Amino acid sequence: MSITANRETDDLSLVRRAKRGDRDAYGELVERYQRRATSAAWRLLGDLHDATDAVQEAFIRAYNNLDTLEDESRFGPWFMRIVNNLSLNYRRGRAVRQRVASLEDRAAGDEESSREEYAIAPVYSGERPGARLAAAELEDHVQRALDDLPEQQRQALVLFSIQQLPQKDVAELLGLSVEAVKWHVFQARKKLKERLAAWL
Amino acid sequence: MTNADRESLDRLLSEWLDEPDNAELARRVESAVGNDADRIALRDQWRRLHAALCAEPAVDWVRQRERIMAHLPAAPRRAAEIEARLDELLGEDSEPLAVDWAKMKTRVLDRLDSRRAGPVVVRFPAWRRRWVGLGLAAAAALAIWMAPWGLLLHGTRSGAEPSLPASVATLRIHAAAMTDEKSDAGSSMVQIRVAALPGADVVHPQDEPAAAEDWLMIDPPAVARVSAGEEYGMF
Repeated sequence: MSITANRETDDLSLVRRAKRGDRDAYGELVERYQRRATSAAWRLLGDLHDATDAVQEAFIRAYNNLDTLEDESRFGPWFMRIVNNLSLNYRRGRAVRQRVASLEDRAAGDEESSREEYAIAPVYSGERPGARLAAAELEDHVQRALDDLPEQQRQALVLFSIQQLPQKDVAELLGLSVEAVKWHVFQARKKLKERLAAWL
Repeated sequence: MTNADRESLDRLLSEWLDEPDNAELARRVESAVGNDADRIALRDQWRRLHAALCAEPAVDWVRQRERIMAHLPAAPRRAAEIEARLDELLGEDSEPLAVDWAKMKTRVLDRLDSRRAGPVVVRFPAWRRRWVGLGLAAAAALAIWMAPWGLLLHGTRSGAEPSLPASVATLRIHAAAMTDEKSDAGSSMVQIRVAALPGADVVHPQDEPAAAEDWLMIDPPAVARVSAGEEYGMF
């Protein structure tokens, strides 16, 4: 049996237990999906603080809507959709909030944004001296390059490469064909590789 | 490595990243890369890009899990419970909504009236548009033809030496008029602008250069297509 099939079987029993009100079972699901969900939200939002908030909200929504999940073995793709939708909502909401904040700042004569900055230091294995600095620099460039991708390419790449959703699910989520998803993922990677050539 | 080779290898490497556990793809990648230094460098770039993309953010996962669990309700709120709560809120026992219905009706009607009072579009039958277009075209041609003479007459009256004034008419034709035979009414347009050339002699010193005149033809007749080759015509 493949790893995916094993995971689906495990998800099935965990979801059934969680539906009956077993919080520990849901805690297992949180443990299982929080890393992937946070990584994806972080890539979509470019801000770790927003990403953790979005993921927390996604877990709460998923918990409250567990009884609407018909195929209990498909918790992963279902939950990742919630993460994706919430992240996009956060992204849109943040754009509005930033515009309002900018206007307020201007009105108050304060040119500097009052937004708190969060240091993001990704985890890299086998660190060498200076590697953390180089990694942080690369991370900054990766996020900027991702932000500059067309929306559909960024989503396809994040959903497929980071959230690890099957291409079929990504296609359904984005309203595209599987071939189009493959094309968007390839184009996104190619653009990133060109843009980040100096840091790779 | 040619551009085509590179593109082909890029595609293969991207496919391989899609399915890193696919042994067949891994074998094809190794075979395509071989011992070529450029190809090895390209493969390593793709690997590093993938690693950078999939790098996890620095989060205290234990704390995050605790935070999430602390915010969960005691039990999942069932859709049925939410429905029941909604029914309760909207039920007969609930407080009646305090709405000033007369005021609301007035507001709705005002809104409808303001929508009705939007821009007025007057549509003429095709034959009338054609005749109006022809009339405007004739008037424009006459104006262009008369423009030098008008200035000449003005000069004669004022006693100055009659000189041939330099004036220019530019003809601007909306592209839709040329390409789309079945375009909607109003989508074709010819604009004729008559003005003195910059720096041209003014016939009478007290006279300011005449203001440019615009002539507009909407849905011009077929005769306008004579000038269709250029967006701007000068004559």
